Amino acid sequence: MNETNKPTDIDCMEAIESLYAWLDNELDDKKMTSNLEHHLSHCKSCWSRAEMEKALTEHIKRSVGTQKETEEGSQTPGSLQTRLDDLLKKL
Amino acid sequence: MDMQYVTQQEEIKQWFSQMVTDNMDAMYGVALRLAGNRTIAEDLVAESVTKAWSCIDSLENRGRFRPWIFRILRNEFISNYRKQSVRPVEMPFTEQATDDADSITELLFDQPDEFLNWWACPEREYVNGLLGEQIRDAIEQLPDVFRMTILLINVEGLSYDEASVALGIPSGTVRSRMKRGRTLLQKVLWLQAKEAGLTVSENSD
Repeated sequence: MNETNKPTDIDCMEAIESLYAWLDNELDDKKMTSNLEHHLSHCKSCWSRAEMEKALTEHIKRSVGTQKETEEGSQTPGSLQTRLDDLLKKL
Repeated sequence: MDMQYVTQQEEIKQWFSQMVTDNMDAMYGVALRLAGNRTIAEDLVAESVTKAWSCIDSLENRGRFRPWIFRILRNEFISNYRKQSVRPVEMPFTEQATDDADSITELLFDQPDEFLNWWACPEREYVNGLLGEQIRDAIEQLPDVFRMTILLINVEGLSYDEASVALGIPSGTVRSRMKRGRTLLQKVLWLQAKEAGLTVSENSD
């Protein structure tokens, strides 16, 4: 690994500022990604936060998604599906 | 009529129908979050599809169908439904004071020590033990701008780019709202835990 690719040490607050974008696969900055991943590999506290946030995202998806499904049978209501099918046929 | 033109139109129609079918759930999800009401959400999706077809020529890049249709959804919502929306929309589409503090550091600055101690020791087990109802309740308590962003991204599966179009805000603001909204969510969860007597005070022996 040459010098430019070598991750730089960042502190926990810097790591946390980029953590959510990284968890959402939205951290475009390669240098920051490498710095953050390096930080997570040796900081137990931030690593635990990342794991906790991942679990929370899954839980949110399940809980709020389930609410929608129980109320409506499926994601999109049947009435809307029929309406869109009709609409598309008439294009 | 020119045969080639007819074939081309037919191809566009088929492609458009397929895209609408493939993205129906996402469109309905976004509409539901915007309108806060299922009937309005259905009307909003149907009208946006009609509108989209009428201006199909404005879509320059087919790979950008989703951001394009989300922009149409948002515009239709603003022009036709915003006033009827069940959930009062606290200006989630404009830049305002709530976006002042950009960093988590600033956000944490005023928080009580007890919360900061809890925040500094994340436990996955705690999250796994939460009931769906507790999560829904916590999300409901977030200010509109943060709740909308979290729901569009974490539940409806929009990218930051797509959410930026659906909410009419710059993608940098989406990024900032995500990290601050998720930090605020921790605060709400902490308050829930505290109320239930689940937090341990630093000073208790």
